Amino acid sequence: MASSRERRFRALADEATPPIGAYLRRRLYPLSPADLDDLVEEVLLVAWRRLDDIPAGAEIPWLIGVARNVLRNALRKQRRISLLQARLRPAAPDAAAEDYVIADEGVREALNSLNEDDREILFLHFWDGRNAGELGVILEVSSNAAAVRLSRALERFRRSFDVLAVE
Amino acid sequence: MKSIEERLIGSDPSPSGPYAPADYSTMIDRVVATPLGKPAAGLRAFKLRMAGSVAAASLLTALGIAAIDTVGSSLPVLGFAAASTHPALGKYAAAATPTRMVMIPAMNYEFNGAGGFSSQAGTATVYTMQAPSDGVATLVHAAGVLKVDIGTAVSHDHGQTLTSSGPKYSGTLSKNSGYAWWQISDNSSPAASQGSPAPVASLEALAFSLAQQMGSLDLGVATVVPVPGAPGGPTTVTVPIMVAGEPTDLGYDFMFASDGTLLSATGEDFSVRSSASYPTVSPAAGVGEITPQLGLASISVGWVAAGSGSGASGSAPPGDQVPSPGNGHEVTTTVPSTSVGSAPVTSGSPPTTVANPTTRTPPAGTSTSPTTVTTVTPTVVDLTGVSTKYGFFTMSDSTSKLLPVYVYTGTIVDASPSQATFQVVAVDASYLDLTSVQNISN
Repeated sequence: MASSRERRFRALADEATPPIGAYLRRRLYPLSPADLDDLVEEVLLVAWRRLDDIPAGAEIPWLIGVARNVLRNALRKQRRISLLQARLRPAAPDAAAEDYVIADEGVREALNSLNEDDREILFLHFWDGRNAGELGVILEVSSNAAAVRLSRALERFRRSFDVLAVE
Repeated sequence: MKSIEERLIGSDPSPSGPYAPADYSTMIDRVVATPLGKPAAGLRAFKLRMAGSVAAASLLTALGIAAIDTVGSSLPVLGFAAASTHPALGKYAAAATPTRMVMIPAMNYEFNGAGGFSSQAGTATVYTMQAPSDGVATLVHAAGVLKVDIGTAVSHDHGQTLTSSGPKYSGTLSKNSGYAWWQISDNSSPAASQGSPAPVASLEALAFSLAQQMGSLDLGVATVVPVPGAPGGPTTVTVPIMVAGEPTDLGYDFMFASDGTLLSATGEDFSVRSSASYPTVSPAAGVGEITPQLGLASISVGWVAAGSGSGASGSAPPGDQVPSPGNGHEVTTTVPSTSVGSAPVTSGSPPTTVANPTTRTPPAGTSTSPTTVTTVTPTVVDLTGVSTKYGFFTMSDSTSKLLPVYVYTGTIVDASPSQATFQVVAVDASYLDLTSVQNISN
């Protein structure tokens, strides 16, 4: 019979797996489903080990913060992992690249002109639907600081978008 | 025509449909079968240090705020959300790119000048913030004050976020614990504005007038900050919201084009209620709390370089973060969103040195070995002034509170001296639970 800890974890995993997977899928493409599952499992493993440390009410943003770090490590090791996994498992069909490309050229160019921090906070808000309070947990700053950073990133995006549109 | 916000949302490259692992059940079974293992040595050391009465208080506050009997009262202990330094994330950040860390390095500061500050303790009210229930009303009211058409608000994320788009201006509002943050922006390019430059004083007055109409709370002095860029570019005017006569971290920002046209406005909407009156330490004693409270992340440092020879300097813009190389000589800057400058009330202090922890383990990111102990060269800070404000904090019970804060200003004594501010929650330390914001490697 599952312990209360395990039940708590399973409930959290049920809730958190879709947004964590969506977060990672948006940022790593093209990525085979198996690779994506590996990364999600790594995040869940952290959740399992640190279950008592996860702030109540902010579980998902906390786990997205973990996913960010897992993602950074994965990116660094991406080449090595790819080579290794190519030998370990048959290649899974990747989603078509077109599925992942940002279709809005103006948005894509404006985003490309921003630094990584600005892009990330915009993605977290507009793609992952995280509000300022959650952004604060993910980025390890106060909610207010996160809100201001979001505001400034949006302002820079807007300016860049307008300038590129004129050109 | 789609607004910028809608185009950003629409640019989401994720394939449709929710993510679901190929074999979720097996994945979860595999995870729960993983032994939990022993905590890292650094965490063990931390827990050992938490033994005794401090640990008991910590347990009492595990759920956020809990009543304890301290110095003859039953005031709740104030526990902080782990937003500034997060032990778990810090652990993983250690293996990540150092420039993306948000950690306060273990800095061996020595603060001079405490003797010049008042030694009078007192009491101060702590306020709990309450977000408006109707975000649409907030956005509509803001647009009305600004006299702009932002169209009809559309709710996203179960009402947590609102967006709207009008012919010239668009709006967005995000609900948070304790407050709602909104922004209204001109859809067109700032560069398109033309006409005679508006006098700065008139922008200041206009911003203050607009802020007055936004809400009934007291307002502080407007601060004009030119936006970096080409001459004649936009100007931002910040109007802090005051509570009980003190500036807060919250307020309004108005960005004007050079001709005075409004480009954007942002602000926070909230109400406050008095929680309780807490004993506060004196400004002189508060200096001794700077180091224990470094995890609350309110250091603002222009530039620090202990013998690095780097000559660049410059203050981090409020709300931005300076990457933390974490080498023991450089400092992460995590500044509250709105820097509220107040004139120092005390200056010319004698060189009194406040005792400070002398040896720290290195912060996460500098070493993966928690047993390594490094003595960090003391960094001397001459404190020259102190002012007060209400700082914005997210608490461990997810409420947002305004706490009395001392803001110390001073100079980091170095080959290239730089200005710095350090903030301290002025509430007596026996009523603060800093467990969640302490670096496990401290």
